[in-house]
Amino acid sequence: MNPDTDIRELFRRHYRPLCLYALHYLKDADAAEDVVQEVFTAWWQKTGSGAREPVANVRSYLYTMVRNRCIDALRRSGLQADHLQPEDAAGLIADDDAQERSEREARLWQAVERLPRRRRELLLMSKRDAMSYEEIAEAAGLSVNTVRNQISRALHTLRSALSPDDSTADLLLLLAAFPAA
Amino acid sequence: MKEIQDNELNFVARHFRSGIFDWRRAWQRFVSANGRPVRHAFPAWGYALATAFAAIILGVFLFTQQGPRQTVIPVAQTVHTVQLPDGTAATLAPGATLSFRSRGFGSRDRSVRMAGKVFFAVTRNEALPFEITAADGFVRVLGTRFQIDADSTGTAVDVVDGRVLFAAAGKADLRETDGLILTRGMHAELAPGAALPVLADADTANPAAWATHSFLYDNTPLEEVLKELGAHFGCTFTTDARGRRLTGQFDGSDPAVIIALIEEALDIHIDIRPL
Repeated sequence: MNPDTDIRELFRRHYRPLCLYALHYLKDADAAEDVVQEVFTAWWQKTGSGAREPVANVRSYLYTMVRNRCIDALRRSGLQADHLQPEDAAGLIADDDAQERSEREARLWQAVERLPRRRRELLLMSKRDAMSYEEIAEAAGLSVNTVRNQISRALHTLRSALSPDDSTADLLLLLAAFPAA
Repeated sequence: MKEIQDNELNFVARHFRSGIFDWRRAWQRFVSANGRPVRHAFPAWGYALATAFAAIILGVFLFTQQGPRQTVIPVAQTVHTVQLPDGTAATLAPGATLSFRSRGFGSRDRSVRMAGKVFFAVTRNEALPFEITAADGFVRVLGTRFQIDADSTGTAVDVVDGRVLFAAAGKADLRETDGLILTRGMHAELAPGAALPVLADADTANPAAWATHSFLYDNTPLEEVLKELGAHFGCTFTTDARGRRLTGQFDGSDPAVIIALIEEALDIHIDIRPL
């Protein structure tokens, strides 16, 4: 790996998953971004100065730093939490699982971001606002069938995004991002 | 094709905002805050030096009312290390400030003023002592590593190695008998307005570990070791082993590695949990 792009590569690969990991603790997207930015800065100051031994598992290291800083931030905010671990509906989960989950969520996030705006809004009404298809249809002025169809397509896109083998969509976007000079 | 976990999609949907968590935007923010990183092009303290220059260029203000021109390292939001013109490295804890005279530093004198918590690794110079004024405290050294923590409640000094003279500030022609000589591992405190600092027990075995990333234990009870490491890394370390003591030095910023070394040294098991 080109040393000049080393930390940029870390940003590219881990920034969004780390933000989602922090979000599980902080429940605030801006605070999560700040923490992850701080962690990359601290990482850079340590490794970039040459004063420290290289860390074998960078990914785990970054996650650990993010977790520690989230816990610090929560503690500073005066939260008296007994179990500061990322939570989901099923309860507490282990570190490795939390890292993998954050990476899946990052892929979902990206896929949601890439959905056509209207389809995305319908999906969010369903998943974020827990509205029924009928409620969404009424609010959006569409037929229930159209709503069902749009959300079904959105979910199909999201499922594709979770499967690393199915990378055609990514490849096309990559080509779009680097038009022929 | 993989199935979507409902709880994961719900979590994403609940927090989704277009345009955030974008790594390119974050990268731009990083570059504008830290400069475009070029690895390995600098010597060990090069980055610190670059940070110091950046801090000086961006944050310097001139304290004309104090007479000589001052260079002020502004309040840091994160721990950062700056290199002073004489080669001394100062690691500032969040909220700490450090200032020194721009002209003559390193040739005429080596005097700095500081507030908050700062760890110094002072370049040795027998002819020109390094002098620090912090709140009511005054410290003079030749070449050593130590930290000063100064706020309105007083000034505390912890010596990692070397020899430090710690006294009340404002005394002309200071002699060694006017203060307290501190050596490796010693901790002393000076109350506001007090004439002399007093020796005390440090709160933890390695009060400067935040800057040195080094933990030194000498026959220290395991409970104290785990408490200190826990506070440092934001975790809880527990073990069933009772009455054990630890001697050794542990360096690094990966708690898992340090804990593994302790487990191996004492042949025990330690549980790691987030606080």
